[in-house]
Amino acid sequence: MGGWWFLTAFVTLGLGLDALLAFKVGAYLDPDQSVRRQFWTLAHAHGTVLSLVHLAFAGYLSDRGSFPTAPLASSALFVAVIVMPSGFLLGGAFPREGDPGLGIWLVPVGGFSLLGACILVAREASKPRSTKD
Amino acid sequence: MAWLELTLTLGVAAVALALLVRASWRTLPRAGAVAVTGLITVGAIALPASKLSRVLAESPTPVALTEVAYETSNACAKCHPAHFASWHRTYHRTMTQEATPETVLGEFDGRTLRFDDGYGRVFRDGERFFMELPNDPDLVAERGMKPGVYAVDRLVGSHEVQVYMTRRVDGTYLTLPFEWRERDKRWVTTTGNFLQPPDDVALFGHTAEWNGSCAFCHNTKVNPGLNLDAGPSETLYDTELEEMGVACEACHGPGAIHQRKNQNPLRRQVLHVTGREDPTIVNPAKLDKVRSIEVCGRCHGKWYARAGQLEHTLTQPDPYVPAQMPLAEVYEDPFMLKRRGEDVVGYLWPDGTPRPTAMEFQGVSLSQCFRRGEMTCGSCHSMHAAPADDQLIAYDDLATPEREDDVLCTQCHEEFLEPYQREAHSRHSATVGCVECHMPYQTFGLMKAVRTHRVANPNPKATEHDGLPNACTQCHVDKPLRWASRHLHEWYGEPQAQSKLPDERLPATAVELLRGHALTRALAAFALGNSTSPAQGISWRVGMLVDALEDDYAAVRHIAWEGVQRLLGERASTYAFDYIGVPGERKALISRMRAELGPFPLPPRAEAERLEALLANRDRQPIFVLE
Repeated sequence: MGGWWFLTAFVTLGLGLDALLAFKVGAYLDPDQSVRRQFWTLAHAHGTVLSLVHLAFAGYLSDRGSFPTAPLASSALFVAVIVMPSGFLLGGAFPREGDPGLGIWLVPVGGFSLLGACILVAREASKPRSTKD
Repeated sequence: MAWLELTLTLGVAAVALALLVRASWRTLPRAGAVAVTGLITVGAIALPASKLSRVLAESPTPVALTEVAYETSNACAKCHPAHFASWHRTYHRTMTQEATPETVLGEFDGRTLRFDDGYGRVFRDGERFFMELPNDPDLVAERGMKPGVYAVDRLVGSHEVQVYMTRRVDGTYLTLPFEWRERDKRWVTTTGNFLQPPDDVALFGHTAEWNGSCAFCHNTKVNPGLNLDAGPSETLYDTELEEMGVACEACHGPGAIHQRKNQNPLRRQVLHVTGREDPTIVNPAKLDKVRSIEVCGRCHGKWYARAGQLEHTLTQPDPYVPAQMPLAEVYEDPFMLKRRGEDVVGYLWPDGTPRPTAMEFQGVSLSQCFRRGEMTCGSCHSMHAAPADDQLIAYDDLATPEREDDVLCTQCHEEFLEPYQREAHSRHSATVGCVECHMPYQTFGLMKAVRTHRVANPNPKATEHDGLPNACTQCHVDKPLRWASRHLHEWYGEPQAQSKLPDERLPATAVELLRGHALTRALAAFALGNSTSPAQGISWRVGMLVDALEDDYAAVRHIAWEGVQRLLGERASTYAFDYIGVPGERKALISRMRAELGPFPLPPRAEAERLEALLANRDRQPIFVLE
């Protein structure tokens, strides 16, 4: 369920960015706002893709069943899908001199969290699948 | 905003980390949970905190920029793309360039150029450009160039004028005598580009060594590299430029340490969030007003090598580094020379007001807006947020329909914020801007009358005593100085000029055009040719300007001809007057103008005898307005 809500949020963000383009909002389109444009686009892209990863993980659990570290992997994925796009969004909201704002420090936090989730799921997926007669 | 940003970022991070710790304690065995918690504590909190404390301690440490290496603008572009792009659009960048088909503006189309002080040919061979100077003994000056074909290797300027240079085998870059005026799309000689006497210096004498003069202000951090011991076949100049043209580090100082230290993202974020100044680089906008105007004033001001240090100046790198020392500690300005009794007449009006352009520093430093207020160059100009033409700050969102530039003054003079307030103050419509009265045309450069940067009140006494053109009569060109003085006295209580001259009833500009020295005449011709002047009658002004086409000085002829064109409009196009053309042709054309456009009436309240007397008493002192 969380994955669908995340996807809803980040598709909405994409529509919001389209609206900024459509109405030629200077705070997004002015030549000196290239950092904001870049980072908000990254926020939208990462959020959408991570939401899909979230849904894929749900599909995996439904197909393969839960495993002991699944709650931790789920939480790590949950953190990544919130923190990484938030980092890009905040970084783009307060850009300075070609650099994103302070929020960009959230991105590596989310990145490590995503990495942790991937390792946990990969470990589980590498195990031989139990067969049911 | 920094606090909002910090709170949001830390809030999201805290929630995220808490979620991870909570999940790990719920899911993993105790050892695993401890490991995850430890990793998060060290990786996300302790390690950044230790780095942060180091950066917090280091970032405000002062750096002696005089010892720092230069990096060039390409290094700046990586982190400051917007500032790089805005600088890239300016004429500062293209102040000096190598001669290539992309940079050369002049038409090297094989034509022969003929002027009253010489002739020659300009041509192109593939990607290279050449000037051929004829073998004519009449044109060769004692210390000038010799006849021959010279390759154009390097050039100065890309806006108003482009000057071409050839490189000699001894490393000297020598300016060539034919220059391209981009504004007029035409070739001229040096006499056609500067206000200087009609002397007998032949064409080939109009050359200059770039390495020890022009190079300083048209590039970034110059070492002229003069070899004092050079023999006849040895290198005389081994000139080094940190960057060709006026680039980032000319104003911001050397950037090597700035670039190295700011590769650390934590340092950049700390500086951004704390709002601290970065001591590894200079921001002219944040300097105190004296250091700030010195950054621009190094080149938009006149400076000399200190007494006895000329050799040092020509053999060592330019000692000035922005904001690292008072400019007057390493160079002397014309005021210092004047105090010592040296001749600076080419640079200053008798009251100290600068005469040429490129002395804006000296003008600003005499202004009350700077001395008593906080005005700096940055109050009106911007390198990064203004059109390249004059780099005046564009105040689009604040612009009034009356005078856009007035908002530059009302930044400080809030009492004149509204047009009606300015009208009440000036006794003029709001279409007459602040600069019309407080920055009149008292300066000259590159064949243009230019507004003085000594912001001051109109002062007829300065006109009476020092010959400084008066703001009132520059617009009201049909009025005498006494008229201006009386109004300034009645309106503002200014002391009245005490002129007892018999020509006090004549229009001040007419008097200046007839009796003044060459600079006064050029500025008077500019005023008379102002098509928006409220003065009565145009014919008498055209008549005076046509007479001025016969002036000895090419600069006066140029300004007078521009005035005739402005006043006559389309009618002037039938007269192809060339202010540096062959004298006989000029004379014939002037006769034709008189026959077809005349007879011209006399100026208001004038008698022919009086005008002739003024002309007979003309100030004929040689005038150089030297940039």
